[in-house]
Amino acid sequence: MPNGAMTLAEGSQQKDYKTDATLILNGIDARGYILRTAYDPLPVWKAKYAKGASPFYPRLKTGIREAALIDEEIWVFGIDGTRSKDIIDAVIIASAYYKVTARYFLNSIYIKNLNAENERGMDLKLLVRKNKALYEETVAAIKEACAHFGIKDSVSIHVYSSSINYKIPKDDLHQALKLGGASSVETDPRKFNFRSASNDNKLRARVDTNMHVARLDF
Amino acid sequence: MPAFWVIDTRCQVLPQSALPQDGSAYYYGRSVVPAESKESAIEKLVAALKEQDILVETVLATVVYEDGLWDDDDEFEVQASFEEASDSNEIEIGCFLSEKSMKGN
Repeated sequence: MPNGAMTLAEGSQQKDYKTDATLILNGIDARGYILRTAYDPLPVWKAKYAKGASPFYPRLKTGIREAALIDEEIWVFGIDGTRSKDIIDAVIIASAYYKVTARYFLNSIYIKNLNAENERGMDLKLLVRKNKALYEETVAAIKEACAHFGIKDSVSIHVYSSSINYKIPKDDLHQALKLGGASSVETDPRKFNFRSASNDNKLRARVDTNMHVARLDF
Repeated sequence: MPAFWVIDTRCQVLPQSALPQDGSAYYYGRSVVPAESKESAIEKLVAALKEQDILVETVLATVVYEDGLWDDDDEFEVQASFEEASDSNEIEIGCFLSEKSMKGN
């Protein structure tokens, strides 16, 4: 199995906030090649997460997307996980940087708490519907990106989300992952806790979370 | 010259709040509030949290930042909150800990 992983919708680069890309179902595996992607373009991301300390990260010249090296991992910015073209671009950048094939990143994908933008004041039912659409479209886009690179073996999408999450309860999450094209979805029996933030990074909390693993078959 | 008050709270969070949630009954917070007095600091914080659908149930402690002894790795990220509050002169809510996430540690 290729020793790499890709994450979607990253926020802060700080430990406990960035998505844990090392956990696998029933065991722990060290990952060699990590590609992290953030929805926000680099200037927006910097304003939200790199205030005060203003860390300098080496920028990478990619021509297509803004990318940086943070703690020896490659981050690509402005990546919308519901667009296969964005995922493909990020994988191309990481493949060129690490000099490994796309399979290294696409075989194991990790996502923590996808959430629709502008949730404030939104009716909770509408937010759940929007979040379901977001997960469904993300799985479909990942599937398209895998097809683009000719990936034929099974792909695992690990989603960290509390089973009691008002923004998308477990059953809704599983349904959305299947509608997007997952052949099966399992919930890992282990409990984890991580730090998580609202999309605008104004509200942060350490919460218990579950890991749901969706499998794509080709 | 306002002081920077560190206020520990126990809160209930409404489902529609943007705060990440896990079904816990309570969430614990440590926020930094610039204000002229302790009473005014508490009042400002309660109002700011209410706007985020976070309801303060109990104020557990209130202390001026400089008078506190903070761990380097304070779980509520109080140092970062203090730095940002000093820069902006605005309330920094900090990182909440859910009751469930505290039981596992």
